Formats: sequence, structure tokens, C-alpha cells
Amino acid sequence: MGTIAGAQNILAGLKNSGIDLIASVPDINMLQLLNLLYEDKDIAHVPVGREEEGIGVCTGAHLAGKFPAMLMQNGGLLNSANGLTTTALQFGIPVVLMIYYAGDIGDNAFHMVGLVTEPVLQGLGIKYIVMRDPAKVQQDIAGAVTLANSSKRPVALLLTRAVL
Amino acid sequence: MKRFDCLKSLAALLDPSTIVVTNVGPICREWNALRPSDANLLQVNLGLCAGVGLGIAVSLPHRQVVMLDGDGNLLLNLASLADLANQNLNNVVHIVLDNESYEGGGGLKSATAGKADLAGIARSSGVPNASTVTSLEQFETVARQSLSTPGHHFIVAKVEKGSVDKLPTLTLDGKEAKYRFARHIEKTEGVQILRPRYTHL
Repeated sequence: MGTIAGAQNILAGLKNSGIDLIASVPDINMLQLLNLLYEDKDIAHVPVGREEEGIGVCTGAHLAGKFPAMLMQNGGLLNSANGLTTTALQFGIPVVLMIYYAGDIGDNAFHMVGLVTEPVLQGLGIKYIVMRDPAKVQQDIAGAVTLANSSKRPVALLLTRAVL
Repeated sequence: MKRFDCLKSLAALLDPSTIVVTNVGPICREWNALRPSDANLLQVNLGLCAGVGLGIAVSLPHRQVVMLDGDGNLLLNLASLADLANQNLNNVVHIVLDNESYEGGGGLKSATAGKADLAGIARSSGVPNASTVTSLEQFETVARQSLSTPGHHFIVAKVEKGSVDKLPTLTLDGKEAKYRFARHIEKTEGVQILRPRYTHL
């Protein structure tokens, strides 16, 4: 589920970095964060049925002047690989991918997805940080936003339970 | 009904400020020939025409957004219909040029050649105004009505397979499509989309 403090920390990092629209597909480990998002007035929230569609939403939002992020589990990263390639990377769209790292060391489900997550990001040419330290959350989000903007590419943050 | 004729009548009805998102394939080539404009975002890849349109429509609720989608394209991400509906949008005209086939993929049948009814799916997904048209006259009537009434409109235009001769070649790639569109939005909305690369200089 995550903790309320973890969710507040991440939400503050997103806001401080200028993120103002989030597309999401739920994962139970991000439940607290999603609950905050549903109530938040500053960040537009667009729940979607499939992660790839969320990449489309973030692309449209960026081209309409927003700074978007996509919240999903790493299984959803695999679902969105085509959209990331043929739309976000091909067009050159800065979008922050906030990905719950299922199957990470210490996680108890989806070990196969965990195994391929980093190689898939590497294969797609998407830079990423594995977030393990709550004290560095704000800095990591700010760094991802800066690189997404300057490279005009998606940048990924892999969220482990330690920061949620 | 020919797709090109539908698009031609649509082009005549559109306000120059209307944003148009098209999928990749013959639709975008035909549309580019009929309504060349930087308010078009052309060549959105498989399955994401509706999603990209959703992102734009949510972000710019005061701008009219038209999506020119294909049946195969929309079938890839059908949840887009439900997600669009749940945003209660007032600025969307989503048009599916339904040729019941994967024309760009060799012409094999899509699910709409069988039992699938996209307008029915849209209606059941919560899209308030969903209709299917089979003649150019009907298309013009519904398109005019949809464009002039705030709301979320969904039109399935049943069209023949095949394009027209002598369409101009589209030399635009994804990056140029993005830059043109983004510059247009920057100019017309007074916002900054393409941010500086070197903020420390």
C-alpha cells in the first residue's frame, strides 16, 4: 500500500519539480500516492485503462503545455514499450515514468517482471534511477525532470517499497 | 462512402484554430492534403490517437480537439473510449474512419468487419453522443452538429477501403510533426512547451 509519509514525500517532489498532470494505472504499492492524487487540486489526474494509452495522454499533455508523469507498475512499462518507442521517443517527449519496481530484491511478487525491467529500460534507451532512499526522493524527481526536459525524452524512476 | 470525401467535407467545416490529431497511415496523408496546418498533429502511431487526443483535450479544455482515428487503431486501446468519457470533456469530436480493415497492414479484416460496433462500444463506455454514419450526407450533418455543440462526440464513418491518386507525399517525420505542433500551441496559447536545454548558461 505504501505509507502516507512516503506518498506525501513523492507528491511534494512532483509538485516542486513542476509536474502538473499524471496519468495512472493503479498498483497496490502506490495506493496511498494514488489516493492523494485523487484528492489533489494542483495536479490533473487522468486514470487510464492501459499504460500505453497513458503514454499517449502524457504526449498530448506535453504538447498542450503541461508537464506530465506516468504512474504505473513495471508490468505496465512492458505494456507501454511500443507507445514509448513509436510516440514518446520518436516524437521526443519529456515524460517522467514513475514505476513501481515489482520483483525487486525484497519484493514478493512478479519476479520475472522485476528481472527484465532494467534491461528493457536500457534497451529502450531510457535513463533511470532506482529509488531506495526516502531522503533522496525530492532530489531524484527533480533530476529526472531536468533530464527529461533537456533530453526531450522519457526518464524513469523505479520506486521501491523503501520510498513508498 | 469514400474516406477522402468525408475528410474533405470535414475540412470545410473546421475552424482554423481546431486542433486535429490523426493516426499514422492513409488518414494523415489525406488530411494533410486537405487541411495543411500546424494545428494538426499528424502520424500518431498505432493505438494512441485517442490517448494523445485525450491528453490535449484535458490540458486545453477551451480548444476544440478533433481526433481522426482508424478502426484498427482504436481497437488497439479500446479503454481510451472509457477514459475519455470519464473526463466529462466538452471539447472533443472523435471521428473513426472505419474501413473495417487494416488497410496499411495489407487490407485484412478488422473486428468491425465482423461483429464489433464501435459506436455501441463507445455508448456503453459512457460517451454521450455516439453515432454511425454510412453516407456522406449523414456524415456532414452529424459532423456539423458535433462541431457546433460543446460536448464529447463520437462518430463512426463507414468508409470504403482505398485512398485517392496523386496525394502529396508526406515528408514529415515524428519530430518535425511535434515541433510544428508544439510551436503552434506555444504561439496560440502563450505557453512554453519546448524548454531550454542549457539553463545554467
